[in-house]
Amino acid sequence: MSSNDIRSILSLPQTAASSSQARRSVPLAKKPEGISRELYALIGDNAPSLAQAQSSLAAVKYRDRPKLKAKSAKWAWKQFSPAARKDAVPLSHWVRMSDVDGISNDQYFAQFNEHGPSVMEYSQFEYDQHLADPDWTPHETAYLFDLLRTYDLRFVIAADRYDYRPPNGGVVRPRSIEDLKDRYYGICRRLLRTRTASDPQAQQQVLQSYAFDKQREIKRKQYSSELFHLTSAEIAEEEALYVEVKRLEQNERRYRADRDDLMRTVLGLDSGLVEFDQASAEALGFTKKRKRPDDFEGPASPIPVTKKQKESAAFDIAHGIYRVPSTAVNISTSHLASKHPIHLPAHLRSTKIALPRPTAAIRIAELLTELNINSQKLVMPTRANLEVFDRLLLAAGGLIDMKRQVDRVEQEIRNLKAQQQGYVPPVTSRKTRSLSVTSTDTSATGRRSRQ
Amino acid sequence: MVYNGDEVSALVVDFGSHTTRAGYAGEDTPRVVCPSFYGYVDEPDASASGTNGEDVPMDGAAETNGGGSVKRKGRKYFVGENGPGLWRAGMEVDNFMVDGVVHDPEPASHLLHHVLHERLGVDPTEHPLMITEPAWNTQKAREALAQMAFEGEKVPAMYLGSAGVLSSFAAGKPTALVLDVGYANSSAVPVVDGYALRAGTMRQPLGSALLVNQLHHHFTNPTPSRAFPLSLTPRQLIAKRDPADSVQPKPLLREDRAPHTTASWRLWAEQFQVVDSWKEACGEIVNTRGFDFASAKELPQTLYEFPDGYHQYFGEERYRFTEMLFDPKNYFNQTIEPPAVLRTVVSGPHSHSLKDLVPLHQLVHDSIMACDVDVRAALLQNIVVVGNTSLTRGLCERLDFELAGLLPGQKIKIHSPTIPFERKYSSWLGGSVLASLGTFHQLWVTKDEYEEHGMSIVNQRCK
Repeated sequence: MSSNDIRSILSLPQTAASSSQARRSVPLAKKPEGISRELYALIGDNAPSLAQAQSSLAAVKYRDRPKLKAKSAKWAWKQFSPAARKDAVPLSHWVRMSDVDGISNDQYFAQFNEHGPSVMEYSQFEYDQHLADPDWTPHETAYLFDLLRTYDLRFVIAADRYDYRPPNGGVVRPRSIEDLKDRYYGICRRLLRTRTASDPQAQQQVLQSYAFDKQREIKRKQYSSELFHLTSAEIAEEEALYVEVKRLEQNERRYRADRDDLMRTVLGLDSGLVEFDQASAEALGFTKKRKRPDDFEGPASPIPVTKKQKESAAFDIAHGIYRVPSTAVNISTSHLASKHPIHLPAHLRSTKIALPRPTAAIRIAELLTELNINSQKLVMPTRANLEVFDRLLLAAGGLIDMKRQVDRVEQEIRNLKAQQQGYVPPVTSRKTRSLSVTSTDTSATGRRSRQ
Repeated sequence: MVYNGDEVSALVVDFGSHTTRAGYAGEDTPRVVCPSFYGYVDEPDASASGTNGEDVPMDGAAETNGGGSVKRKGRKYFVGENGPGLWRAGMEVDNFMVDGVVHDPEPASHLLHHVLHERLGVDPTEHPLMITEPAWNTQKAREALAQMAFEGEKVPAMYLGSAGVLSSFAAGKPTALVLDVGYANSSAVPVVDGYALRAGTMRQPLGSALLVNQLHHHFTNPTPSRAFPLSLTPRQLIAKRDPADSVQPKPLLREDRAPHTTASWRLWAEQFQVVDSWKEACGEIVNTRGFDFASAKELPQTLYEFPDGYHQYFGEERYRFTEMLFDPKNYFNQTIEPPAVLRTVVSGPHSHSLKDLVPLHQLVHDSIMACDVDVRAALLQNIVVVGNTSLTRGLCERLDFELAGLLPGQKIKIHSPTIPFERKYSSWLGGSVLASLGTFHQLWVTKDEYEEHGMSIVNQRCK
């Protein structure tokens, strides 16, 4: 009996997905462990998620009974000796008897007995030949090497524990960590150089790794020690300077961008401020900038007339071609012009014709129609005609402007005459308003002064 | 082999100026914590018993003379929890530690014997013993310790662990600057790769002993707000509390005890039991801005009652005296006679005497600056603050603040265990960790080696 059957008994609507076809196609293998077939059929495709999701839950098994008869592991209190010790150490610990054959504890811990980089060895002969140093006795050198071996080349600790006393009561020299390093690395270098090496390249590399410059090391330590003695004021100043530099850099960048933008829109050329990267900015940037005006200060040479242009002049006259000299930018004023050729975007020459002001344009058009001149288009727009037409337009514009001025003056005269005769009352209202304004102003200032 | 440990049932004993800790290696707390003070009674004839019948030595230290040291004739020692803490007729109290070093080996060996046999109940011949020592331990004290362990207790193996190194191990750091603010001393020990650097080790007798001494003077003298001195009578001398809730209580004293009480016991009881408890309950450090008398009135007050019944809301005293740790110039009153033990410390390259105490942060600063430049940054980022007095509320925050002022721009990190006993017993804890490591066991100095080579093998191993 499936859930579908129950649904039909209870006259519940069949779910769309649970067609018997689909039911058949799903193999029963999906049935999880631990649920009887009948029970699973009841659940059906309503998909009891929990049981399926936690199939382990269904497959839960009870813990095995403790094997009471199994023998408990045997532990024994056994004496042992750490691997690094040759003598008998009276130490004991608990050992599981089953593990005795396997890797024992002391062997396990022996693997941690690692020593640092090995300290170089030298023979007495080598010392006599190469390593003698007036500042160091052989005895003290041996003491140093012994100490370094004890502390696995930790110079900080070796210098801290350095307490050499000459055997026959000589002078005790205080040795700094740099002295020790200098002596040790010096010996290492000399030993390496004298010993014959199978691979000279490798020898060079090892020699490199033993390089030690005492003076430089002392200087370095001095510098880094100074960092610990900075006062908070100095640190604040340093930080403020850093912020200032960052701000300056940002300003510089913004200024450059603005200038580029402006030059491009107004003059159509690059500002010419060379992009310089951050790294060189501090070192080179400013000097470079200061120099640049000098470089370009001299008067720019006029653009030479090339041969080709000379040839074409005759051609131009023959064909009525008129070339406009490129005077858009005064060369001498811009030092950039010689470097960056003037960039002229493509344009129609007609756009260069001066257009009358839009307010005056209608009046000019009216005027021209009065004179029976077509203001829109010239029948023959030659150069000469256009120049005449241009002049005409200019003259018309001037006339109209004049007319307007005259009109205004006449109107004013009329107004004044009317006032004089009393037709129009004098502008008292305007005066009172201005008075009130001033009064409020004084009050305001008065209040301020009181404060 | 969990955590690479290998239990050899070692014991760890940590002699401190204030308390001595002992326990099994591998455990996280010491089993025994008892005062490092001891009581003694000098008896002209050794056979004579005490005046009271019940006054048999609780520890039996005097009878079972395990120590190989020369025993002073006719002196009876009372050590351990029931040593100085119990009132005994004519008992003097003293401390075998001076400047953090075991100074008097005889009572120390009695205490060790007491701890091992009576308290831990072990047979020391079966257990390797780790003993802690301060970084400035003297050769003489080392010898005494080795002798105590090998000859006195006949331990099979021994190791001397440096307390600073062990504290940094307890904090899980091989490289650290350990600031230990303890009872007798406050010390700063730089530890690099598990070795304490001698150059940077600094100490000064600025600890709770001095603090308690100053407080004791404050309480036993009238102040502007309190017209009468406090009696500070310890509970051992009180028969019955004053039932009337008066301002100056007059408890009923045990008249039988009063005439037989020695001055040293009385002083110990007043300082160690009464004032020290007050200090731990009330003492606090004003955060960051420091103490000043103008704003002291607004500081929170707390009620405290002394054993004799005197009680009061304490305000500025809670902060004024602890301020000494960070401003000894202004808050350490030189006119008050300091404990004689603290006066033994002389000024030197690695120590400050009572005359020129420096603030704790200055101590840390000097210690770090005395080390090589290359390890300073690592030390600054691993400052471990331990010691019982460092549990004074607000100490770590104040230290952080003051250090940041001294070393601006440096990255400073202070690590201090939050669990009180980890701070109080940090060197014991480090010893417990170290002595239970499988890789450590090759470092034990065995009895055979000691008998063959003497102290040289100890000095060679425990470096």
